Amino acid sequence: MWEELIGQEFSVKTLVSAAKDAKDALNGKPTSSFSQAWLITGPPGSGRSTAAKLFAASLQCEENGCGNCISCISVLKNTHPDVKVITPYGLSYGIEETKNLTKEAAMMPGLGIWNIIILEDADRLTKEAGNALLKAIEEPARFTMWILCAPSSKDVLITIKSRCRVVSLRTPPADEIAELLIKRDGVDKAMAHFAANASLGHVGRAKLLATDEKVRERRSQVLQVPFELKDLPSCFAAAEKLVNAAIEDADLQTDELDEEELDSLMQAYGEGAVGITKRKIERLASGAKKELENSQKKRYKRITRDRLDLSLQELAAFYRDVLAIQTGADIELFHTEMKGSIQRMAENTSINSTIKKIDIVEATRRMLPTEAAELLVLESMTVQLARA
Amino acid sequence: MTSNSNIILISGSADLLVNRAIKKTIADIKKVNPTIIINEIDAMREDSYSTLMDAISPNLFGDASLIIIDRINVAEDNLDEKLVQTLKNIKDHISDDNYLIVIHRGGAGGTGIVKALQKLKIEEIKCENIKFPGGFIDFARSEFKLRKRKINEDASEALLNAIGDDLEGLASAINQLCFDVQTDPIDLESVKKYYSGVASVQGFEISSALWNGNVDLALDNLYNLFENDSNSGVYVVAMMGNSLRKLVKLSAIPASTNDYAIAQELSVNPASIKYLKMQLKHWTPTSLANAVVELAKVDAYMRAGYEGVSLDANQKRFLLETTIRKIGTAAR
Repeated sequence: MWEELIGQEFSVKTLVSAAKDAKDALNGKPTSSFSQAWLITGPPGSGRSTAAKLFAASLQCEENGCGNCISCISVLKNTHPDVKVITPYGLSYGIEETKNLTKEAAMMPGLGIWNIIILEDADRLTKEAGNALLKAIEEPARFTMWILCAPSSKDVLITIKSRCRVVSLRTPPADEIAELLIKRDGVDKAMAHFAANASLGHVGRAKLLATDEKVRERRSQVLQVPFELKDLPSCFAAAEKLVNAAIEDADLQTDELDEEELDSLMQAYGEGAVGITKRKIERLASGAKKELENSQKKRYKRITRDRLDLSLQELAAFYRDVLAIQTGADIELFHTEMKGSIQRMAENTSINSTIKKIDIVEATRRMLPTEAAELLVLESMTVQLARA
Repeated sequence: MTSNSNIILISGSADLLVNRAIKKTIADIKKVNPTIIINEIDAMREDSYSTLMDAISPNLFGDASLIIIDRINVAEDNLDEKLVQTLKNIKDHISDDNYLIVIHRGGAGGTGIVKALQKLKIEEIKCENIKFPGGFIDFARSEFKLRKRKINEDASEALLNAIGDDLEGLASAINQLCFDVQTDPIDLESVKKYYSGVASVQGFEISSALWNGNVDLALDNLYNLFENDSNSGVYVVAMMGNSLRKLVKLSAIPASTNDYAIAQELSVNPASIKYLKMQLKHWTPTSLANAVVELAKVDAYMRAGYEGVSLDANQKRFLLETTIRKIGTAAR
């Protein structure tokens, strides 16, 4: 079952032996790598969540991860009662939510061997939330296992990091991504190679690029931006285009989900049932509804930001391609299909200006996680790019 | 049975008028009983109930006392129920030289107490709210009359325009004017000298002054805005950004296009196109490009603080001021 996590042989070895050690530790045998708190780091798309889930399955499985037993299957399908996956939807993860989490962490496992809590995006914990978790992570209940995920160990509060064993994933090589796409998703060879390269090492993104025409289209639109920055109005138009594309993407992702969630909430309060008036349901559900809408709004904002960040990564990768040609580096381009226009841009601009442009894009990326006004930030970026 | 005029209810939503009514009532009572002890109770405070109990319990020296219960419209819960009960008792036991003033400062809260009081047939002073602008004109006139001063029609109008919808501000302005200005009647010049439209500055006015190339006015407005509302930094930047965006879009439209088509393109009121065109004359593409970079920077400061440290109102104003100056020096 570990084959889905590609290009991470070393980390897989660590995690598999850790699952074995965990069982030994429960049986009172001495072990070398037992810990009840793990931090899995790696760039977006390298498979942090997948690794966490596979690790959880191995911990729960009698055979240390056979992939076939009921326990393994239910963990992989997100239905195991003793594996809780927490995904912070908003831009940050606050103290209120964390407090509930510490309660969960004190429970005994019902069915499995461990009570496992997977906290995705631990980098989104606020300082207060992180501090609230410290005690629970440092001295966990006997059968509790924490698995945190974050882009890099630098992104996590230092006090949390010091209480965890860190497993680092690397950016999977494009060849292996392509191979996975061909084997798992039945993508044809040319498309798989294109998608693997264009995904910048993000496995999930590679699959989307390979299978969704719209995603490819939006990507090529983003990559037109460097050629559109001619004068001030065109810079502003390009910024607006980037923001709108991100908003459209977020709309697409969330609209259906929002409605589904609202429906199931209203049902839970008795909508469609006999003997209760609509008015009464509305009144009963109003508090929960507001809360749901709030969290949906947070999620929407976060998805918009994530999309924007992706566009900026693609832009940065574009300028890196330009730089690669300018310096004569012998590496494969991210955006191979644009080789012609990248070549032209490389000839018409200086190395200095390309480096400056990469800096500008990266500085803009750093501004996004704050509450900064997206449009203004991107306008500032395009204007500076046009000047560099 | 004692006289119910020892219990007085003062109600109204204009603080100024209510405060005056209170002052007058207290003064009237003091005329009759100069040594009366005054107990003021703020109904909003948590210990208000116990303070009330202390105040109404018999005093060792048998001095007369005046109890003022303020803000029953936002009374603390505990007080709310008990007050009605207590008032009934007081009504029966209050002696001739003790007084109780209950103050309701408008709004829906505390109507239970008001109704209970009204049932007791006590004395009630209602302060009718003054409507803007008609009532304000009458109010100003009577204020000047009270001070035995006259003001010219145009001067009074200018004063009202400058102060705006703020009765207390108007009252204190009139007081100040009567003190500062010796000429009688007070003329337009003197009003202009002291009051030149500082009231209710909006983020919009800062933005429009800046893009009009008038940095001094923009800074003046910024200063006044922060006097009133120190949390408006983000909003001011957003306003400036919006206008900048419109100017940039306008600069891309051929000069021959008619105003209506432009208005549609920019999604603004056609009447404002002329204004935008005038503003655009102050700026070059380079100066606008510099401006957007500065704005994005200061926006981040307003929201996320300076290098991770959050800013207070003065620091925010300083950064905005610096930004406006930087952008403004490029105006033609």
